[in-house]
Amino acid sequence: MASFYDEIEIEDMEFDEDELTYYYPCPCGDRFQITLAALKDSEDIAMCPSCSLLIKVIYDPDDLP
Amino acid sequence: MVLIRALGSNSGGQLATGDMEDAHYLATTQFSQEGNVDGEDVRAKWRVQGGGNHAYAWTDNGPTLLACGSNADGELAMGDGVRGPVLCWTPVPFPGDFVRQVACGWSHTLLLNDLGQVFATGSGAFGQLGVGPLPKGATAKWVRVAASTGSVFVSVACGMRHSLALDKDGVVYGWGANRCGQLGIVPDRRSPNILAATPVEGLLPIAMIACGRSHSILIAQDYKTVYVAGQDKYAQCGPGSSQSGTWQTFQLPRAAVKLCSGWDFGAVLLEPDDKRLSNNVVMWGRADQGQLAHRVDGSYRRELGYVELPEVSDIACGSSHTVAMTAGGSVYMWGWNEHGNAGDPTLANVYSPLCTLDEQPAKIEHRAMGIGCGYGNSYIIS
Repeated sequence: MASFYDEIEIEDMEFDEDELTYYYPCPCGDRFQITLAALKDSEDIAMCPSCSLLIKVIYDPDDLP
Repeated sequence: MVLIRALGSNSGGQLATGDMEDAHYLATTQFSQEGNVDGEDVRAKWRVQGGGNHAYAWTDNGPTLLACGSNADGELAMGDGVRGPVLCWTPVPFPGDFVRQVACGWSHTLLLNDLGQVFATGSGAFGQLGVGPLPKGATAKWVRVAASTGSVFVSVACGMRHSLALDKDGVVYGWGANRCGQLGIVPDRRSPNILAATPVEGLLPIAMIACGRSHSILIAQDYKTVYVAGQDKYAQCGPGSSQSGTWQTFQLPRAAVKLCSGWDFGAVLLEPDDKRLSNNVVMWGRADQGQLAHRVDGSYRRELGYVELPEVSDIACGSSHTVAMTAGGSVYMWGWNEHGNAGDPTLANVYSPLCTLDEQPAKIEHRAMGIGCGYGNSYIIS
């Protein structure tokens, strides 16, 4: 199992309503990202396009928009 | 003429190298035509500091302010018409005559001018601009941070989404994200962000301030008493005991000369000991990527530990790495290095200080005069 850079609560992520994607800053300057669709599909790993780092998103599936 | 070289992450153009490729070897940064600094006073001391995707370079107490990288949130104060990325150091107008200090967060910036006034630009999504709610949630022009009338500030600091300012009487003001209590205020789930500059109360007069991702570090005017508030998941609040439920406090072994913070760790440059022989940088907090210049069991170390490097004269911290300059003018780096930002082109994390610039480089004009960091990158000023 890959180790996570961190576990981030969904309340700490920024939601882009046009892209339906949640974002959180990555230490490199790019952003960890995961789509709303993926979260609804019970996925919870957000990836950074520029790094190998991963974060686990902590959320309540019933609270998703 | 100043030479600024850079290493590390560059996907936002924040290295000012003219492109958006990461730099795994020291790369020379570029000045725009308008930002040409050939005519600058050669005695001017340059400073560089960066945030998530942007960086600033300025003359210390001087008239020149330059910036590069993303202006998507207005973090370069270049107006709504410029989105960026700006790929070389470009002049930024600012209120006042001289720049005292610039601090950068994830997507906001604080400016302190010669009159002791604090201005902010960039994203205000978490209240980090200190001006209350904004129509677009961001600004691309400097806005004055309101505090009690007549406050004169002497230093500023930015966390990922929060801001601190220190006034001349040793009072700290904080604003922005407070979900982890990083402003020294008990977090309120209904109001996780503080929109106006709010004084921190109940502490000794403060001399130094620094912000991590979701914590704040203060050093009192005795230069030995440290206060930390905020997230403590990686022991970033250090070895102290809690005071009044919000601030942890501990003592430094010698007086502090400079305070820095990474995302999840702290670093203090101490005054040299009498014989100038011992190591003088202490660190605590997250360690799993080499941030503390030691391998530790587990992912953090709460106790203070020395970095094995004598005669350090300056330090700067990125999100997960640290840069140190020695009295002799050499530069060492350690920590997370996936973008080459800690000086190892193999991109493996660096767990003990790595010399990235010798004391006696081949060209005398390449000798280090200063250092700086953005989140995922490092700058050497010659």
